[in-house]
Amino acid sequence: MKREQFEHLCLLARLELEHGEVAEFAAKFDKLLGFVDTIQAYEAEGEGEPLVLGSQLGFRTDTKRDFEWPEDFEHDYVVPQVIDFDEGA
Amino acid sequence: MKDLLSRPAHEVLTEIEAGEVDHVALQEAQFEFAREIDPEINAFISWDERVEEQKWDLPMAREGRARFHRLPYAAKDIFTTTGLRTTAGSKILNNYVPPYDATCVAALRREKNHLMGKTNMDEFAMGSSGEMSAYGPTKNPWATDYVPGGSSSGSAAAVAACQCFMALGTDTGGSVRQPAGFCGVVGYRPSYGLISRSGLVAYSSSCDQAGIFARSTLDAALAMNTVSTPDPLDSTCQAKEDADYFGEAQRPVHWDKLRIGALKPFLDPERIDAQVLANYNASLSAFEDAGATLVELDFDLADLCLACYYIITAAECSSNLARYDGIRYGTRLDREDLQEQYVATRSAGFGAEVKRRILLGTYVLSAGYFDAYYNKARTVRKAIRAALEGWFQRVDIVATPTSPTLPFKFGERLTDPVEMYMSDLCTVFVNLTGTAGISIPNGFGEVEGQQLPTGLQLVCAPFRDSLLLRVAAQFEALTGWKYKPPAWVAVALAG
Repeated sequence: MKREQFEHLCLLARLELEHGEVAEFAAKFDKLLGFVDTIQAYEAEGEGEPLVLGSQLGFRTDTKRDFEWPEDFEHDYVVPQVIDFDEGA
Repeated sequence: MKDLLSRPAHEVLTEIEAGEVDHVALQEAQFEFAREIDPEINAFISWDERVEEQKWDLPMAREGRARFHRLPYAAKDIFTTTGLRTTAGSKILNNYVPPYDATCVAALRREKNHLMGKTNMDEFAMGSSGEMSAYGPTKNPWATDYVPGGSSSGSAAAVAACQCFMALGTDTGGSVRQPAGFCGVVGYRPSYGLISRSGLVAYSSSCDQAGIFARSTLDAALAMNTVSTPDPLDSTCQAKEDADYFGEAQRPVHWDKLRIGALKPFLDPERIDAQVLANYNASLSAFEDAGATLVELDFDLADLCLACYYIITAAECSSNLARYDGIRYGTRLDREDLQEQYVATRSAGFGAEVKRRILLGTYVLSAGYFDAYYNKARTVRKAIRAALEGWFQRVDIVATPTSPTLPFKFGERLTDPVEMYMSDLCTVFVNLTGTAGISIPNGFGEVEGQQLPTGLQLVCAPFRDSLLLRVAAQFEALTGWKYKPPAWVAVALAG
């Protein structure tokens, strides 16, 4: 992995390495990537599924529904206002 | 009183219940002994100084079945404990005092057990040697220049050195079974969901599972009766209120009807150390002599297990550990800019191995590599689960060595993370499939004149934990095995 790529990865992970440790860290990380890359030897069939509660994990379809505000609903929020802006709080 | 400290918990408990042993005096003797010898092995990070307060007079939730109660125990420093610092072995949590107990700690508290303290561990449970703790390495009580295994290093060492009767650990890839094997004690990882994960500092949520260290399988089963309780705080918890693991573990095994599976890759001298293999073969012979049928099983995915495991757990770790930003928990390094504060806090707070796994997880979850690594690992995991289901159509229990090698010396594997990861070769398939495994002592090997323990791992089909504990307990009885502490511990106990 190029140094710039490695530094970008650190940025994504919100980590910063000392200047002196980047080279050693990157070298070990490359070895680690080589190790996990052995998984490419597997010929995948289908997709993985959650093992825990697999069949029970039923989420409803995310659908858009029309909604009409009740006529007597005066405000556009449900949670009561706790700060009185008129009083400059 | 000290002579009781190396005895099996279930025997001592019988004497407490008969009024022959005062449990408060036992607690005091245990606490004093544990503190006296701890400088030799560094098994504890924190002691529960509130020991006086623990002499509560709370009613015990006793039921018909035997429970682990009124006994001294320890908990890996990854379980939250009300008012007692919980570091997860990390600098980033060195001042974190939780406001609540983990569910299994609360269950032990309800039964008037005495928490001795919090045990040392590899940082955030990431390690296989006990060398990755920010609070110094734990030493193997059998030979203090050798590692005790990890990540629940302190819990394994504390039970082996008779600092407590039982200790809680966590097992994400073998972190209970592997150190149990290295320290010559019993380490039990229940099927995923049988002990609530509420109050465990999360590393890899789909593999994390609390486990139990004890000096016999019956003691582990007794503890399981107490800590395995239904918990609405953990939606993956599948514990049953009235399961009696201790009772089940005492039932006889019909050896002539038992089929034991041996995984072919773990019979290979190229993968497994010669002395470990010799002890493993002797264990298989003991099963066979008792009348069990041995079946050799293929495991073509053995070599992919570790890569699959490290991809999945690193991905989950990078997500779980994102919460440590200096705002909500533990240490904070103040900076003017918020992003800089996050980075500074995390960079100073995490150790090298944790950073490595966060980076790996970030990498395998990134847009360009998600399918190539993470999704691929998920399909491999599914295939491993299918293989496991196939085995258990042919056998009742699978037996493997717990670890491919004997304990190694400090520093021996620190320069090469991949070599360190190989310690988990025989254990990770259990975590990836969510099933249960137990390591029981099966002998010693010799390195440079030092006697070092080896472990036999037994694995059952998911949620056949009662059968697993029964076979393990009856195997101990069959071979006449009883725990004897290391010589220096025995001398200290006699002193």
